Amino acid sequence: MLAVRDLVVRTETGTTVIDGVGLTVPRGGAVGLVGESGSGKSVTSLAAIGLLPDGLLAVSGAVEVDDVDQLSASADARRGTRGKKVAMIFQDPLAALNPRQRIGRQIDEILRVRDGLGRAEAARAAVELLRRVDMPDPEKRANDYPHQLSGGQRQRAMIALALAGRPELLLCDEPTTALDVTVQKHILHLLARVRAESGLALLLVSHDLRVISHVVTDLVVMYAGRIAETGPVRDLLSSPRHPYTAALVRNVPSPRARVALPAPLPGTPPEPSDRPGGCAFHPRCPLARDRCATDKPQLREIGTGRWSACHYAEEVRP
Amino acid sequence: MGRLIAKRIGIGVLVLWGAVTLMFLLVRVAPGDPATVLVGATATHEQLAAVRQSMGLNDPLFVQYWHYLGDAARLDFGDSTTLSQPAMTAVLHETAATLQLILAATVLALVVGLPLGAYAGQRPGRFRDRLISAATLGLQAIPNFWVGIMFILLFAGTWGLLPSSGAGGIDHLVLPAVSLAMPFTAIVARLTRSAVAASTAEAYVRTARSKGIPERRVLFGHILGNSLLPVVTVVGLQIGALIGGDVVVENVYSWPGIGSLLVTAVNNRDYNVVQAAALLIAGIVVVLNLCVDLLYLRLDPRIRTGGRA
Ligand SMILES: Nc1ncnc2c1ncn2[C@@H]1O[C@H](COP(=O)(O)OP(=O)(O)OP(=O)(O)O)[C@@H](O)[C@H]1O
Ligand code: SF4
Ligand SMILES: [Mg+2]
Repeated sequence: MLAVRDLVVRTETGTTVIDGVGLTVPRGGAVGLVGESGSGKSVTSLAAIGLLPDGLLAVSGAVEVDDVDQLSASADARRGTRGKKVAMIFQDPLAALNPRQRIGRQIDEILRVRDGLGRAEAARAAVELLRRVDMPDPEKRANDYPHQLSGGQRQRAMIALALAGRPELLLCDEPTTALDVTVQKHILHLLARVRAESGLALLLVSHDLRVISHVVTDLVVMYAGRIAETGPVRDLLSSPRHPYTAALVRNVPSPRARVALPAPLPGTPPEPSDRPGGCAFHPRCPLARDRCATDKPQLREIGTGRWSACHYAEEVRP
Repeated sequence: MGRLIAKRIGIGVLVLWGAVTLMFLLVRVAPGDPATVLVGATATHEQLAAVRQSMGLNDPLFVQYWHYLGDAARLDFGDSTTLSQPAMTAVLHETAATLQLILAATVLALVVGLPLGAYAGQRPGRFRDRLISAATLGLQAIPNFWVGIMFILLFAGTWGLLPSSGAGGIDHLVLPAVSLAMPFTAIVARLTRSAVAASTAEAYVRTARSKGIPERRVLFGHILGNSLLPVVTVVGLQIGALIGGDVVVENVYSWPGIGSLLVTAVNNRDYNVVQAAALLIAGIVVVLNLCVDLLYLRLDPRIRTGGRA
C-alpha cells in the first residue's frame, strides 16, 4: 500500500531532517511510528501524503502509493491520490479544522468537489460519517463550528473528514496527544474499529509507545531522522534490539501503574542541525563504545522481519 | 451578540460627544473672533459687543458648552456667515458627492488590493511577492496631493483624456477616486498579502489540501475567508485616514464635497460651517466603523456563536 524508500528530506538551507528512512505499510496493515519529539515522525508522514511544509524538500528516495512513486508523479496525480487513497488526521484537531466553516461542510467538501454530490446529498453523507465515528447527536454537530465541539468530538469530526474520501490508507499524526486519557482510549478504539470494518491501512504516529502498542502490529522506531529499529510490535516490546527502543519500552508503565515513570533516558534528542556523527544516539547510549562516535550503523536484519541500526544489537537487554 | 452591537453603538455616541466637545474648545481658542468676522474689521466697539451678546459669547464657558451640546444634538450650528443658509444644510448638500467619492475609492481599493495581495501572499518570498510588495510600499508612500497634481498634468493636461476638476459624469470621478484609492489600495494589498501568507501555513489549510481538492478551492474556500478578518479590522482603522485623504483630494480636483466646503469655510472663518462639516465627518467615520464591526461579527463565527467547549 505505502512504501517509503530511502527518503531524504532537507531544509532549504541544506540541513538534513530525514536521513534515509524506509518503511512499508501493507494493505490493511497497521504500523506504528514512534520516537521522541523532533525525531522526524511528522515530517515522514507529511512526506507520505505529499504535504511537506514550505521550506522542506524531499531530495531523494521514493514514496510509493500502490507502487506509484509520488515524488516523481505530476502535481495532478499527487493531488488525485490525496484524500482518495491516502488521508491524514492531525495532532491538534482544533487547528486542523477551519474555524469559519461548519463541521458538516468541511467533511462533505471532498464529496461535493471530487464525487460531484449535490449539497443535500453530501450533507446527508456527512451526518452518516459523523454517526459512523460515534459522534453524539450527529445532525446537530454537523451544523456546529469547530470551537463549539469538545476536543474528543473535534478529533471524531477530523476522522470523519478523513474517511469521507474512502481512503485505503489513513495516516494519523499523534491523533490522541491533545486529548485526555479516557478520550484517548475511545479514539484509539474507534480507529481500530474503523480499520476492522473497512480494511483501512493505518500508520499511527506517536511519541508514546503505550498509546499505540495495542492497535498496531508492527513498529518503526525513529531517532534523529533515521530508523533505529523496526519489527513486529510484540518482539520489540519483549526483546528490543536497539538501546533506544529498550529505553522507550522501559518507559511504558505496567497497566496498574498510576503515574507515568520518569524518562529513563537522560538528555534530549539533537536538533537536525547538530546531530552527532557516527551513531546519532551515542551521547545518550548506555552501550556506546568508541566505534559508535565515528561509524554510522546501517539498518541490518537481525531476525525474521526485525531490523536494527545498532552495532551491538545482539547485546541489548530489555 | 446584541450586547456587542449595543456596546459598539455606545462607543460611537461617545466618539461623537468627544468630537463636539473638542470643536467647542478649539473654536474658543482659535485666533480671530467670530464676532469680528461677522460685522467686519471696521465695526465699532458697541456693534461688536452687541453681536457678542447675541451670540452668547459673554456667558460663562460651561453655560456656552451646555447650549452648544443642545444645538449639536439638534444639528443646529446656526447660519453660515458666507452662504446665507443654515450651516448644516450647506454641509448636507455636499455629502452625497463626498460619499460617492469615498465609496468609489473603497471599492477600487478592495477590487484591486485584495486579489493583488492574495496573489503575492500565496507564494511568500518569491519574485511576484517581492515585486508586489515593493510596488505597494511605493504606492503607500506617495502623497495624495502629489499624485493628484501629476494626474491633472498628465491625464487632463498632456493627454487631454479626462477632466481635471469638478463633478459630473463618471469621467469626472476617475481621477479623484484613483488618487484617493491609491494609498488605500496599497494598504489593503499589503495586509491581504501578509494575512494570506500567514493562513497558508495554517494547519486547516493543510487539511484542505489533504482532501485533494484543486488549489483554487483551497484559496477561495479556506485561505481567503480567514484572511479577510484582519483586512476588515484594519480597513476600519484606516477610514479616518481615508477621510483625511478625501479632504486633500477634493481640494486638488475642486470636487464639490464636504472637504472642499470645509477648506473654503476655514479660509473664510465660517466657523458654523466648519463645525457642521467636522461633526458630519465624525458621524461618517462612526457609521462606517460600525459597519466594519458588524461585518467582522458576520465573518467570525467564534464571536457570533460563542464557545461551548
Ligand atoms: N518547516 C520546517 N522547516 C525546517 N525544519 C523543520 C520544519 N518542520 C520540521 N522541521 C524539523 O524537522 C525535525 C523533525 O520534526 P518532526 O515534526 O517530524 O518531529 P516529530 O518526530 O513529529 O516530533 P513531535 O513529537 O514533536 O511531533 C524537527 O527537529 C524540526 O526542527
Ligand atoms: S550503535 Fe553504539 S551508540 Fe548507537 S545505539 Fe548502538 S551501541 Fe548505542
Ligand atoms: Mg510531530
